[in-house]
Amino acid sequence: MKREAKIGYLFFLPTLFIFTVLIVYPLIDVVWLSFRNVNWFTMKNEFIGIRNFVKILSDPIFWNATKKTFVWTIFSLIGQLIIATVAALLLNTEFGSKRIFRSIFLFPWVLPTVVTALAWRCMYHEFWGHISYVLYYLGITANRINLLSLTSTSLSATIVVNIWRGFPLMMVIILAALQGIPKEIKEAAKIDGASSFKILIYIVLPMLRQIIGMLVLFRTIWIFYFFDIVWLLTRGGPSSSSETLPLLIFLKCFGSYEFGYAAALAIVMLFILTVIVIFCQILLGDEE
Amino acid sequence: MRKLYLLMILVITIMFLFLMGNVQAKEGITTISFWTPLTTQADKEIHSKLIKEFEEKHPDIKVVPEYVSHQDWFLRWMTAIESEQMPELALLDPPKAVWLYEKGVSLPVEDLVHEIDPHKTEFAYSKTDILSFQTPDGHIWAIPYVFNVNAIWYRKDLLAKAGISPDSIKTWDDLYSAAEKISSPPDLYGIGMALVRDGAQQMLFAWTQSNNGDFFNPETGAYQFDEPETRKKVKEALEFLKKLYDNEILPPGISSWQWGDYRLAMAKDKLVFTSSWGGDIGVARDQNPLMLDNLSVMAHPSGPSADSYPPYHYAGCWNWVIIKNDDKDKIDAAKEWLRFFFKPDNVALATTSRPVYNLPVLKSALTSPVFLQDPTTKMFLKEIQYLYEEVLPTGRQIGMEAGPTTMAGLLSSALFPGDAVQNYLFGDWDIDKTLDWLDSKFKEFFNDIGYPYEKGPFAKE
Repeated sequence: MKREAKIGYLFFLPTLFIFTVLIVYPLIDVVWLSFRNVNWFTMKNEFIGIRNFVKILSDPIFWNATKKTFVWTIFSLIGQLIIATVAALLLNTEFGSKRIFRSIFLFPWVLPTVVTALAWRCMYHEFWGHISYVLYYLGITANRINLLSLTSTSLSATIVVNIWRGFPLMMVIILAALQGIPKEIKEAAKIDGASSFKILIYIVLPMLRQIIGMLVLFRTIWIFYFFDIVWLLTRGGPSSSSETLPLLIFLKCFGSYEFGYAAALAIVMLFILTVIVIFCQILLGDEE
Repeated sequence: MRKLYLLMILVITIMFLFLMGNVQAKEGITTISFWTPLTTQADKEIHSKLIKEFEEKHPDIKVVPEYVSHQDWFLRWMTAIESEQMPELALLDPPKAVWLYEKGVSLPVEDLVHEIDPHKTEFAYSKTDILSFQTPDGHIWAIPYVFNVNAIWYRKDLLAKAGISPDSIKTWDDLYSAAEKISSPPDLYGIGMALVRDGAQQMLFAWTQSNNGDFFNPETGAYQFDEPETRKKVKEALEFLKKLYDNEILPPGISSWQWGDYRLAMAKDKLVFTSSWGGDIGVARDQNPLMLDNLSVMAHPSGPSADSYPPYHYAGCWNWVIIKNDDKDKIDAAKEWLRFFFKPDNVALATTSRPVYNLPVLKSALTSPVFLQDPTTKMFLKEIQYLYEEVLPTGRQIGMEAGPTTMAGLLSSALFPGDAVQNYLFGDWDIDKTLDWLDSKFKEFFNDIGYPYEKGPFAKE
């Protein structure tokens, strides 16, 4: 082997080692666990074949969590994308206080999740929350209501928080993409008589399609497996109305210590995500 | 040259790591450590004070505390057991204490209990304290030093204004009438409690017990929720909570209320009663000290099927456990520490980290000058004595009615009881569906963990 190649492998080895230890081994372990009944509390550890998977498919709690996860993901994504695009378009124009707006828009991303969750819990609170007060004052609700406490609104209320928290990252990426569009193209369109709106629809957005496509793909995966914000806001309640798949996995793992079942749930979730990724890739591939 | 420097740095690093990992205790000094999930600053300060005093009296023993959060607790212990690197002691709540017993890593401590209380006058020997850790063979597996109990905290001023005597509230109907009379939503609600997913589970147990319902047989530990009498008591408890919610006695957002929410609401003049562990006092002290003059406590009123007043109360305690160790010196040092800790003044000091929420298990600690020097404790001394005399003897710990079982640990982290309460109170489940679902979940649970729920782990052959 050439000396350069040997050195190359030598540099690659630490990465391979870390990858194996942190990614490959845990993945193999989870797959192994999913075929076993493992409960650390009772020290049970026995092979049970596909029984965990059969139990999952016949468990209404799993299907409820899956449905909630899709709702959570789709609406969070749409909300974040719309607000991020509007914010990026705004920041891409020239105006005096642009820097202030940029800082304000980035603020949600900078805050730690725990602080975000606590602040929003307080804002939603029926006694001292601004949101409950405003909704009552405007006549939208008959009384001051905590939207996190109703089965009909707990998930939506959590999605609002997630949109607020997550849009800055998308905004930054879309803004970078916008700034990469050559000015000459837009100027040429203007000279040809195109309005700003038509420039946006027929030139800018189509040029952003690839970036937005990749962004949607990555954000879908990230939002799908978000756990922290839902747990901190509602614990998946009331009555499992905001219980998503990651929460269910957490509860099975660290609530009842059913490691085998939780591992099987994780594998199923991975399968679902893989299908989504393949679907998105096909769509993006068609675009190309 | 550069390679030589890199090599030297590598060697020094390895040597440093080796030395750090192999720090030996100074000769003649026995080092013992305890793990605890009591991670508040107040607890840490009290531990430091006690350790300092102990080490001055025992220069040959060094005590090292390690603070492990509730979330990390079981994982840390599982790792410690697997790697045989356990501490010598643990200071913990009952589910965790029972878990250690079930893992076979704790030592029996009845000899120490006898040393601390030779005349059986200090501990209550009730199902809240010593008896909950006693197995049929007579061994005791943990020594409690504080207890907590869920009782009804109330606003003295509001009751007086409404002309209601607290002594007249002995049944659930009395409580309902008083709450309904005084409350004026949305400014003031009748009762507050933690009904968030994990809190709802506690309320199910607390209100079932105040109806004198036991989920597990107090003699054998057998599951008895599926017996008609117990099922009736649980049904009444759930229906009472639903009545409170549907009639706006409970605040509308209570499905998301954690423990801090009702305590704060009480401090901020939003509630008349709370079903509480006494943490209202600490929050009122911080947020609205003037409210402290208006707070007092009563036993849970009895439910319709309770045949006594006061009824059973949902209780817990914090305990010391000695961990098995091959080193006899460490076991002796651990026992020496506990002999020191269980002096009444030291137990009294340990409870002051959360005055009124923590109540000393030792009778002498109640009259200790250390206990009485805390201003909040002094202010609520009458309430503390009331809880000790009237309520502690009726205390019950779920899953430990007959003795220490895995139930205590697993039930404390399982969410299905709370889910049943939430689905019934805030969802669209009817009572029969709720009870049937709860029963099926319990049995699934027992089968998963191999709990002998039909006969009970303490059934005599």
